[in-house]
Amino acid sequence: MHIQIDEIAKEFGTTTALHPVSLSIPSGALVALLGPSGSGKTTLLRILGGLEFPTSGRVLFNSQDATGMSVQERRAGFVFQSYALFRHMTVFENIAYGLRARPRATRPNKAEIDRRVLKLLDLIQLPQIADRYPTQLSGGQRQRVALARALAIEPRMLLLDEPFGALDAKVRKELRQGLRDIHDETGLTSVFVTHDQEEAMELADLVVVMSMGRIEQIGKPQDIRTRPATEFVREFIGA
Amino acid sequence: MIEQGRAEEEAALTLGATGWRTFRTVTLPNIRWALLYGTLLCTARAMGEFGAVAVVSGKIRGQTATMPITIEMFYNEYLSIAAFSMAALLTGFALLTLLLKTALELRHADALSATRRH
Repeated sequence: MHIQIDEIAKEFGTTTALHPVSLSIPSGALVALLGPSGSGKTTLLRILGGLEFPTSGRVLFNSQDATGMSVQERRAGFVFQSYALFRHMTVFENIAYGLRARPRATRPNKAEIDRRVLKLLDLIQLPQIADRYPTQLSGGQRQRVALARALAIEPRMLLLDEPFGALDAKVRKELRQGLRDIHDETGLTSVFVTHDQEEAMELADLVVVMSMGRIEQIGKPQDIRTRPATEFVREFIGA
Repeated sequence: MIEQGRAEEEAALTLGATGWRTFRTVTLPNIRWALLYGTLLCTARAMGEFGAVAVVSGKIRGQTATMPITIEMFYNEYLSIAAFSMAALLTGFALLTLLLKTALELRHADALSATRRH
């Protein structure tokens, strides 16, 4: 799905989180929002997911205005920074949650839910953990379960907030490839937030560098590396 | 609830759950032990109430008298047996609440302390 961000601004009381920013995300792309903390990247992601609403500006999905669309209607697969798995539910129940929450008319039957959850567990390469609780999983496993849970609703786009932030360096590298594979397999338009420039450069098709609520540069990783548009970008990527 | 944060609720919403469903399946299960604990403490508090009820309610026997007030009334009417029976009963309730409270604290300390478990 093609995502268009048109002059989106966001204020929290008197502080400005986002100055008007515009961005076009082509269908099927894997985009990184890169910037230090406080640069507005998470706010922008949450606006896309419908968890925050912009003070001004529009969001367009496939050229249709989606600015006022509710979070449920958007069907965005959202992976939270600390994963936000339901701690009183098993892995199976976590992944099935979105399917069971559907209105009766579109809810798959029990056998179909079972089948889909098991398929997703296969996709994240953790077929044996269905009956465990989130507290019994390692950080990397939790991240993959959160990803499977987001994919279960057959999302129109995938939004990830610092998906590798809480993991140690070795697991991070493995899962990076895992996310790339899942993105290529599903073909979903995906946006992830990160403050790690190496991660953004290695993983994304398109990198959006942000600072102080503004977009500093939008470009392919190699373009940003070879032709940083501003002094901030040059310093931030250490080129 | 503030310490637990909104992330799990937000996750439920992004998965298409309505506000009511989110409350029922995510918020409530997460606070159930704390809620039970609060109810228990509240019950204990209500059982022992004396001053406020005595002054405000008019202490009508069988309608607005709490156990301690009833005990006082029995005692003032020289109904010692009734007064002491009632006092024993109240002590029994107090011990029962204390027992339940301790059991809850032992078994669900983690949920009550409201710290995030992951």
